Amino acid sequence: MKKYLLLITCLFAVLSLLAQRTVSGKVTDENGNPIANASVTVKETGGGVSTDASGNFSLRLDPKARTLVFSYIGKASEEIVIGNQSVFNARLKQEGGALDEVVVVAYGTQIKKRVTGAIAKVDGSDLENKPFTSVDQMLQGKVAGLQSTSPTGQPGGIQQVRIRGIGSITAGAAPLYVIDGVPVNTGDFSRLNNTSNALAGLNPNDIESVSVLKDAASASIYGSRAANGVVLITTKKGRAGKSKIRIDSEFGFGNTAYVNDLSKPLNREEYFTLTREGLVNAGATQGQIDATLNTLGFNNTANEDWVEHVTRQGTTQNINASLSGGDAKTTFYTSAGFFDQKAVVIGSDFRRYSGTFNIKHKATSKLSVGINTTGSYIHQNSPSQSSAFRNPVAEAFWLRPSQNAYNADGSLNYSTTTFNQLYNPLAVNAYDRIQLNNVKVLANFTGDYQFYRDLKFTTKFGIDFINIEEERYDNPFFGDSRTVGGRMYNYDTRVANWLWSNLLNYRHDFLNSKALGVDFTIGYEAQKSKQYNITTRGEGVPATTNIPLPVPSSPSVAQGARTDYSFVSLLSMLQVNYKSKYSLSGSIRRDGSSRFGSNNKYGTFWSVGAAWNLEQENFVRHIKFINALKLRASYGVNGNAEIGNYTWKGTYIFNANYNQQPGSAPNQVENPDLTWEINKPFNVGIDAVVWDGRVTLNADYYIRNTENLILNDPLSRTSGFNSVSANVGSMENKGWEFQVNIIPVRTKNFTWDLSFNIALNKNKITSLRNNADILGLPFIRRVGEDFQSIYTRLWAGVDPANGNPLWFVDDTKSQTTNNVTTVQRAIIGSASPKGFGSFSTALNYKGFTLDAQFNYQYGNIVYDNWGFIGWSDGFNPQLNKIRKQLGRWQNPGDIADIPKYVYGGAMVSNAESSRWYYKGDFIRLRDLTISYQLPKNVTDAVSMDNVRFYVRGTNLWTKAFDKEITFDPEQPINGVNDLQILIQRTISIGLSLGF
Amino acid sequence: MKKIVLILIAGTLLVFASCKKDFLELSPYDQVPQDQAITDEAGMVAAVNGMYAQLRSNNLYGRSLPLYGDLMADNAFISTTNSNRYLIEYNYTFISTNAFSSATWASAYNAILRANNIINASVTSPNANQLKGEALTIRALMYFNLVNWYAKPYTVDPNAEGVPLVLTYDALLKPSRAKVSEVYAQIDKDLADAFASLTSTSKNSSFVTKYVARALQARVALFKGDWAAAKTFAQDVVANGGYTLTNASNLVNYWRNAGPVTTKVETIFEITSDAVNNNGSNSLSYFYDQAGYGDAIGADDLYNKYADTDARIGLFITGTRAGLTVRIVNKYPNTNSAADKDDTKVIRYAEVLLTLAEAAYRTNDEVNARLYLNQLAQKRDPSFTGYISTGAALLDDIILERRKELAFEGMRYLDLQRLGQDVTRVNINNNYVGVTPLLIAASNFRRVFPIPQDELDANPNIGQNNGY
Repeated sequence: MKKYLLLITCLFAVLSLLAQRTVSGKVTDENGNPIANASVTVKETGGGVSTDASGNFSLRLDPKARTLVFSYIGKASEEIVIGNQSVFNARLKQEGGALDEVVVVAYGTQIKKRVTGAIAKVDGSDLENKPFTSVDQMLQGKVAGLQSTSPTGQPGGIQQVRIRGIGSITAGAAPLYVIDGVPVNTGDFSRLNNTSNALAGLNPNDIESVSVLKDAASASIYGSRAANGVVLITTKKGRAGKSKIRIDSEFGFGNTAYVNDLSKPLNREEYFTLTREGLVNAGATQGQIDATLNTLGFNNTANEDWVEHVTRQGTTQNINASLSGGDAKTTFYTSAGFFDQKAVVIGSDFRRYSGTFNIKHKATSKLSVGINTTGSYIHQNSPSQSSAFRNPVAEAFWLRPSQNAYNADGSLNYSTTTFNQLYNPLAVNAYDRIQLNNVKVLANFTGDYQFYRDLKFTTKFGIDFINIEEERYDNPFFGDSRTVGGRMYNYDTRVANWLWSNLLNYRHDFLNSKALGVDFTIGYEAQKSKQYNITTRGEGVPATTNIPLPVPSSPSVAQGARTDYSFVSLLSMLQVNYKSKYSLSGSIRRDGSSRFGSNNKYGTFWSVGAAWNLEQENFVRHIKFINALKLRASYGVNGNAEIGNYTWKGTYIFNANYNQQPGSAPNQVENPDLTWEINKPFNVGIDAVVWDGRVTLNADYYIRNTENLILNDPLSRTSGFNSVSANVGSMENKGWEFQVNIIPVRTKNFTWDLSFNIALNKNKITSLRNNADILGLPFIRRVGEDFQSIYTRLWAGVDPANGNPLWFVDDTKSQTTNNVTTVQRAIIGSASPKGFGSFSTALNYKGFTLDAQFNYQYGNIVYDNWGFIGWSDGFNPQLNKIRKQLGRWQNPGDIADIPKYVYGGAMVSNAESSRWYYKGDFIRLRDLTISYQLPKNVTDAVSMDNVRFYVRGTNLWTKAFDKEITFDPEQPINGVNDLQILIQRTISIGLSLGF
Repeated sequence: MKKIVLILIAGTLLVFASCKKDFLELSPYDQVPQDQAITDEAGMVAAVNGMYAQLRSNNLYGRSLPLYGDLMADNAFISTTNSNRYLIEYNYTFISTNAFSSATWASAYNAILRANNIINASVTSPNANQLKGEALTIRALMYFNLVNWYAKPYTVDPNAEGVPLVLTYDALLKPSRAKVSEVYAQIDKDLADAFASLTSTSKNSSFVTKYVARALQARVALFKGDWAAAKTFAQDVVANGGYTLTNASNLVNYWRNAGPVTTKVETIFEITSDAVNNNGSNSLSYFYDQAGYGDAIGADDLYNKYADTDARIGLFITGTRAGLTVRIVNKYPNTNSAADKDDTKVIRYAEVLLTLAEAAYRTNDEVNARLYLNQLAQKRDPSFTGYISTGAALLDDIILERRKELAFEGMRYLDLQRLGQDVTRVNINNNYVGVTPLLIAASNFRRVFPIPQDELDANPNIGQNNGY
């Protein structure tokens, strides 16, 4: 019996050996160092394992196995045909070394060598553990031609991103964001809070990579939504092999990133000296001076520093844990995240809890399914900006030092005698509330069915859900709502968006040597997004601030509103490659949308692209120092569908109520022709890798012509309407982008990387309706000029004889006047930078790394929107002034740039003019990180994969080239400083652990 | 076989997934397509409410129309402590880009659009005639205002350029100006049609009835100098309208009431504002009431014209502004009321009586002229023994009584226009200071508003008024 058993066992063993032989080997980097956790998979079945700490692996082969694929993050994948050998040693090269890197492209992935378009990739590792709330903030400086700027320092606030300039006048100019194949709703959906960013619901630590699609060949397949560029975000997925646990924890603290002494508010003594001088200049008698000063608090002793009061030390806490792994059939990635940030301004904070679960399962050899889900909960407190009474930043600059913040008994002073115009921001912060809670869920289900080796069907259903609850409480005792007995606002905003896409992909290599590769996809996509708003407001709350959520006694607003849009699309892509030398690509997409007028319901968008890898040609091959040299060109047509949901419809709206009965009224003029704005991008580029990968260069030149821009076309008022939206304007953006990476030193223990990028964009409006200027001060839209041209009066300084303001009469600057009404405006520059980008350096010595990234921009102008109060020469004299005002003219003969201080103001000296504009040029040390990774033998000893400590500084140093600038030079796209929440400088320490 | 089936399924999914025909047909949830807005009576009722609501616009009866009529004449002045509003109109420095007069033009035509869509709707229901009659009346009222503010008075030159007549909706229309007489012909026709289709009952005085149309017919005839017609129409209102005057002791209370009435006392037609639907700080009352901007003050010259025993003197409050003792207008006292906001009277019974008096005088019936004039004057001042003047003096008395009775309701300037008279501001107690002109001759080109520049820019077929 025993014999039989042994025999049977042997037989099974032999049989299984026949069916499944085992192969083994070692995976190393180009220097021969072993790579742990590299993935080794069988191309045909998808099964595989990971390497161990020494880079070794062993794998049992399925009979169908023909090819092994070796891959590791940051390394170029390598494929080896199995044949008869049983030991496979793979040496993986640094990614990008020779354009063999795989990048995520629209509807799939592509080897960089074959890419015909302009695509920039940002690795997930560059987005991890940063003190920013959303991924768009982290893209700043990472991609040539992508301008990303914070209009506010509010954590969780909106970020403005423009790719290759601004491409629209009235429609949206932000790129399309696609997360795991699902175009998502982005932007600000809050209606009560100052700002909120839908992308802040996605934990950047869950991102594997970001691809930025900049030209026609890469982006046009997104059709009517591609005009402003496309940002593809891919979340992290699991890999077969050992389960990996990763824990990242970081803590940081912050203060205001940029302060100029000139911008500090006056102290008590300075304020009263200046005010007294102003009263004398205004011709007041001694009696009047004394009386006025006393009303301003001269007879009390308060000496408040309001900036000190409203600012604080910011804090950031970021904790992330993830578990990933899987086997040949099932892989998964799951994570949990916690992010908490308090801004440097009171009342401004953000907290996020997030979780992700991504799983992929191979059900049969042909069918695989995947589910990616990520959800988050955000709690955010967001004070106002601008001159709103809830803006602590405005109050910091405007409240007088003589207004005492606290009563004698230590309680907060909110008496309307002391605070008769502005309110005590400390009391507002203590008693009032403006906050939001945001639930976001992104989920998609993907099914792949491999009919044949070359033919694959993919269906994907995705949802993108946002629910924002907002609350605002105005106490009944002080503040703007005191006259109505306090106010309570409750808003709810729900945005649900679904997408269903079905793709059929055919991929085959023809000819004997498989020299001709064809990759063809056709697909169908449908998408619909619905928004539902509930808006309530009521006056009259109980006379206490202790009730968290009081019910107002007189509800005044109670309404629900819906809005929606839909798209259906047919799409097709073809990529043909010949011998890795030549690649041709083409795409065509037909989009229909509810947003488009009935006469233009469907549009066709297309692109063609070509790439030529010259290093494969004999005449280049012998040039030794060239590793790769690729030329690219593309052209196409895409669109901008961010034109509003029902703009084309002529409707009656039910809001014209009369006698408390519902009434209806014509709302807007129907324009059945109204449709997408057209964008025609042309791009040529070069990608070169030379000197054994030591130098990499990407350069692009592009021309973006946008047409059919939507403007208001004026109508005869006798029609009952002022204007109709119509596609009439056009604009051009053209420019250069350069990205250079250099590795000056690369030894076994020490590497030094340098990189630099710059984008030079030139914008020009090429046509408007009847080529008439459109004035939207401080901007003018004029044919032949930059879209963001600033149109203002020209300041000529101060008359030394009498301290009066002077302006140039016109732009010839030949004559000055002190009468502002006779002054002509002129264009003084643009709010768009001439150039922007970053340079960074990374030093690597054994376990130590030092990374630094400097961001810069130049050639733009920023506007001090509230300077007319902050250094007003005496207008609004009861509001405090900033130190800049001290440089005023005082005596005849003084050469000054600031007029004499006259209580109540004189000669409209604070009228908007070039006086309030600064150069926006700056360099900012965006990121400085010093880290140390424990050596492998130490971590191995404690059975860990990775232990890393780091110290990071964010916005550590800022150099503003205009010495006179009174605020942070990083401003919104339009350059208008609106007394936003201050941007912070953060220093954080962190620890990363991998098991 | 299995594969073929799967391919077929995949192919089907590919092409037909969620491809319902109406997938791309999405409409706003709180709106209806224009062509479906007025297809039944309920839709028409809503549209009529919406039409009235437009008259509440602060560019029309909500503020500008009644304000121009007194500020640009001699009844009200703007205090030196002011919010910068209406100074350009008050000082006669406006040009074609002037914001308020441009907005009034656009808002009036928007009201006409709302009326046109009702008039042209094909709804046949029991009340459709009544509703169309209301729209006809409002259209006539708007054209009456347009032609009086943007064109020369009919009594001066009926063949002068009037305003474009737009009777159907066409967004792309670039109409030219009709003659003043043509505009009046349309107004006459609309009011006559309205009178024929309207009933004499309504919910309250904020809706148009048969006698609203009749009363307006009387006003329009007076402005044309068609005295016989004015007399006929006014007499019909007096005889059959059922309206009465309030007692002198109740006059201040009458004006204190912010809402519409059902009693037919005083008010024939008004545009209502309520606690929810009102212009807030952009309302007429906010501009007169010292609890609001309070920029506009009653002229002392006017104030001095009332006898001490005249109940209308109670419609002034003596107070202080900018260091002056001033006569604060008390016709719109509900700025601070949370319950209701002041309505704007469009036409009152008193005006009909005054029209009748003037029409009688003009048709050489001085007896009746004095009768109707005294009917009003003695009601307002019970101790007044009545006018006994004759000839030109009687006409002066009628016009003076119009000024006193209809002050701060926007009629004064229009009366001066039709009478071809100069605006003469009598400067008592420093009412008028600085650049404010005291005499604006009837021949001054600014006695007619400019056609707005944005209209000229968008409509090549329209011509500007002389002087601009």
